[in-house]
Amino acid sequence: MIIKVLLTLLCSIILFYSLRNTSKHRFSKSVITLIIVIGYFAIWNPNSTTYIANLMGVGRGTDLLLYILIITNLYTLSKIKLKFEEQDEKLTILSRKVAIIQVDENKPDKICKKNLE
Amino acid sequence: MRNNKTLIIIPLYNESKVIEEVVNGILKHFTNIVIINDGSTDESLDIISKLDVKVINHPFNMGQGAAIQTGIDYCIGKNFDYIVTFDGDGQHCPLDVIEMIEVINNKKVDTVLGSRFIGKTENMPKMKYILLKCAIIFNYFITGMFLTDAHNGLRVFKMNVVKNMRLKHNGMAHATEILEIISRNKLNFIEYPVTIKYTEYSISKGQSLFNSIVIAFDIIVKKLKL
Repeated sequence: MIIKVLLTLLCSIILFYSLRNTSKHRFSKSVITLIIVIGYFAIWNPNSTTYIANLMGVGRGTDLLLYILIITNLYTLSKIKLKFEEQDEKLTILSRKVAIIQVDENKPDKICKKNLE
Repeated sequence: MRNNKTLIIIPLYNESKVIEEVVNGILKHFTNIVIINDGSTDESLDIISKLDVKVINHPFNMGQGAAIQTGIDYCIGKNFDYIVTFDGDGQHCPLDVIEMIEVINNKKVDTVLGSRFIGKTENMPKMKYILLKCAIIFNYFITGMFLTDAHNGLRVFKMNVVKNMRLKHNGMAHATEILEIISRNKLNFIEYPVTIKYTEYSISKGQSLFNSIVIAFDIIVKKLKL
């Protein structure tokens, strides 16, 4: 019983913060709400997940949840990795620009002078 | 007379022991050198600051590919005919560059790639030999080009070829990426024998077997995404 209350509270906090976040798109807000509502349902009717699991040919509801968790985790990880690579590329371009600008400002351009000679 | 129509790009990362000698060797024949200090943590920067070269300072270490691209970005809009990539660890020979420029002039090709296997190698470790031969086969599958030496840091490009070059691999995988660009844009290239000096120093700085596998993996991952 205690765990049910705790999980419900946790879900509510997540729901509250994600709905308050104004930068998020309406679509992603509705998806999160839907997931949380399913979460409430699963918390208070644990057998319902087993029912769905049995429909899909999985023995226990917990196992089904575990599979879903693994898949979403992998998806999130790959998303984060892509994001990191994107950031890395931007950082490289930025640092390169800064490095080249600094050269031209700090030292008289020896190379160009030599080219003119 | 020293060549002033060529820009030598040297990516530099912690080569304080040899860089002065390397630069002085090149300066005998060429006037324009740009060194990209890729976040060296030793005295490299102090040493090259005293030399008659252009220094570009990466704020942190980004990798050899990133450094070469910085050199390329730098040369755009400047009045050069040829762009040369030259390793900072002293394994290349400046005289080879002169010959390569002659070749690029006479044979009307876009780029000349140095090859140690049709050229001379001094004291090459056996492991290195096997590794490089594997790299050649690997490169064939990735780029469709069969070269005698796929990972030679000494290359001469015509300026107009370099202008459109965008290297995305920051690390060592750029060597394969350059070949990919050559093959995709159907550039004319020729391999030219060059001498690679294997000193104790350059061997210690070279790529290990493990690193090479990491690089190959990196190339495959990026390739699959494209």
